[in-house]
Amino acid sequence: MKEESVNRAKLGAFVLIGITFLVLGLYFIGSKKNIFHSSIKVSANFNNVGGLLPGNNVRFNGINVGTVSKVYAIADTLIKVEFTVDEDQIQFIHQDALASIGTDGLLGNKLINLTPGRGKADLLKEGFSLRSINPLQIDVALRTLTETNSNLKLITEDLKDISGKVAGRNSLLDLFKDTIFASNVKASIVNLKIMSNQALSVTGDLSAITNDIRKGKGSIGALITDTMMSKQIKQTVVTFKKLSDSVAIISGDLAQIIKNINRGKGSVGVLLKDTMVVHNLNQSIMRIDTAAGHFSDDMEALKHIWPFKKYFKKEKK
Amino acid sequence: MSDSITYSKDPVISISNLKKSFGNNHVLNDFNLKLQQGENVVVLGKSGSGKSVLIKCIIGLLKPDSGSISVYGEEVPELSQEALDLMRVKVGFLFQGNALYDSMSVRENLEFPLRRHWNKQSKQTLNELVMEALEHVGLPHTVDMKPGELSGGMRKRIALARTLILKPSIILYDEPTTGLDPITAKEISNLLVQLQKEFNTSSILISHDMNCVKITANRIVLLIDGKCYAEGTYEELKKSNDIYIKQFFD
Amino acid sequence: MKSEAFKNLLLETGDLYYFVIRFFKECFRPRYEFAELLRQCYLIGNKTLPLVGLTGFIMGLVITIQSHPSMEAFGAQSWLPSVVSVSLVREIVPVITALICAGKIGSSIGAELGSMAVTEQIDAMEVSGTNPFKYLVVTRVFAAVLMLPLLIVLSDTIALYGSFLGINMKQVVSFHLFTNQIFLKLSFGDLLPSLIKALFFGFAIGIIGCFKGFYTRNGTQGVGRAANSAVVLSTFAVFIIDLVAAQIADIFHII
Repeated sequence: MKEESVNRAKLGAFVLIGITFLVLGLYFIGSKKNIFHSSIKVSANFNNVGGLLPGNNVRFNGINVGTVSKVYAIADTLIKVEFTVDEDQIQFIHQDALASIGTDGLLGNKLINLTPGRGKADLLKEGFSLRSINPLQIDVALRTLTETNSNLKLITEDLKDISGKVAGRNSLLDLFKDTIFASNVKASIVNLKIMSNQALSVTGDLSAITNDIRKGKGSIGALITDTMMSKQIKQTVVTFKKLSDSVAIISGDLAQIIKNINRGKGSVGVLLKDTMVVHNLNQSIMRIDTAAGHFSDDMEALKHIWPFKKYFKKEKK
Repeated sequence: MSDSITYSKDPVISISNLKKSFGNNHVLNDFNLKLQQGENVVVLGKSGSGKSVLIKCIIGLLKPDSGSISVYGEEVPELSQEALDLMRVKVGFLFQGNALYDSMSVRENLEFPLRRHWNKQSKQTLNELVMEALEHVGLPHTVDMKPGELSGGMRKRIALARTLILKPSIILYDEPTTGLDPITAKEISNLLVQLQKEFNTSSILISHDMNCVKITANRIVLLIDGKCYAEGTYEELKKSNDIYIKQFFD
Repeated sequence: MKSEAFKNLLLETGDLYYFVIRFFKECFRPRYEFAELLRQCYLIGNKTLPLVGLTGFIMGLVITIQSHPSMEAFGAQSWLPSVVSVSLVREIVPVITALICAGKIGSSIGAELGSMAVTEQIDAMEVSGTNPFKYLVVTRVFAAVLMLPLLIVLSDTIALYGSFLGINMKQVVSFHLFTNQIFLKLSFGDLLPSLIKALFFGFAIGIIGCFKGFYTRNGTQGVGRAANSAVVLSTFAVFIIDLVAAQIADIFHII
């Protein structure tokens, strides 16, 4: 009989411990899923949700504040995403907050990032539809970048040619007599201008990306949690800027030369006596050479950064 | 109560035209038996002749195919579960293999039918009844042992005590001396007779052990081919010249 | 010979069906055998816990160690806790626990009831005014149904602790971070279906063990056969239930 009651006590302990762990487990899971919390329903429209599913997290400045409840198309290019936001979290979320689609980690689930607006608007309300930012099209930016790259290569070759010719002939007179050469230089300059424009736009795109990265928003922003990588990209952008600066300088120099040549028609001698011009020209060409070198280095580096790697591989094919 | 056997008019158990078969094996075929108050009937038969089936039908563990079994005037096959339980208080059953619960101590084994049949007994009453039953079979010291620790004869006595603890007026014994050495078998047989006198029970006893039969039987029924082949006292049957009867007494 | 075996299969299935029906009829009618139920809960719950806990611990540890290289190849070691915990809680721990229980509880019920049947103890109970089905079968099946989910919860806990140790063999993850990571990925959809599944595992193990034991014939040989076939059949049943549960979960999108 005594043994029986001891056994019952042991059974009681077993059951209590089991139920405790069960309740704890349910609580921890529940505290994340917010099932025991009251929440409000809001929505946002996107062009493309990139595989967002009901149950995905909603984050406000990086903390979980709710879950996606419904994703459905309301027009051919418009997807409505309904999601819940915890009631105890909305005191900091205003109606001018921006919703964007992001990714949790490298291979993670899609999620919705809420970025605070200026904070002047009212607090979030049930059924409110938030403004959204569509995911940055990194593909497009990269495509322009490659185009620029090949253009630059062309120009550099042209300029190399010029510098070869300049180095090969002692007399600049002969050089500038050569009208073909002059037209080549002109063409180069035109190309250079196009390229520098493109480089500028790419730089713009990239700096937008880095901005996003710094703020930690947008798909790539959330993606690149690795600070090394974002540093690399930043560096690339900086060199890009430098490059386009130098390209601008060079093209300025060259334009100056051409102007001088044009103006000095018939008085080439004056021009040729101007050693400064020759010096400038030499320096310009040297600068362009180094810049081109930098640029191809940068492109090489860019190729090894993960998100771009895939793109370049595709491009090769 | 006098020692002489008193036959009342109505039999306590009366079986008529009992039939029971398993598949094509007709174990009992028009079997008839009457047990009078205070009488001790031995059903004699070969192994597999349906003796155990007979008493299992009486206690309601098996349902007969046809025929009537009446215990104290009640038809056993037609009893409800509750009535069957009530009847089983009056009719005890001693199993061939004792059927003691291995997982329980002797005390729990004895308490089991008490707790089941009579709810709500105080611990003290239970204890008294258990000790009383154990004293009847001469084993009060085994009360806190497990059946596995006891010898065959002791287990049989404990099983007997468990049957007696409800003070039944009829006891059905299923081969009470099987598996025991002749000396223990004789002890058990004598115990049965002694207890029967003490409690004034009637009983049906199934056996093929002639020593036991000789000690316990008031009347012998010979069960052959599912029928009551012969009937009489030990002495009567011993004198018989019938081949089948002689087999048992040689 | 073959048709004989087939006929036996059909007969046994029919008997099992009636057995289950009888269980449901008996289990709601009074008299309730609470004392015996508690005793069986103790035997099934407490006595199985060390075995189940040890198995759970080893499974947690081993699955973590085994998953580490492939997760490392993807550079996703930090995902190890969440991935391992989901597979442990959803599938591995419930099934392993149920298999251990099928082995331990199934065989012990089969053998115990089997030996009670052949030594007429079941008949003796009937004669002693006890419904042996209620006393033996209903209590055991109920105990198994009640205890299996608890065993699985405890085994989950132990397995996750094993997984924590396994992760810390290769990298340093604090216990706090580990729990945060596992509960970040675990959902009700992972835990609750596994517990509902556990109820069915418990029922199958209990009822098959009892069925095989209750109808044991042919002496000690029959007891051995009853115990053996109880284990085989309940192990098989565990897998079938697991399969069905996975499909039902899939239909209802319990991710």
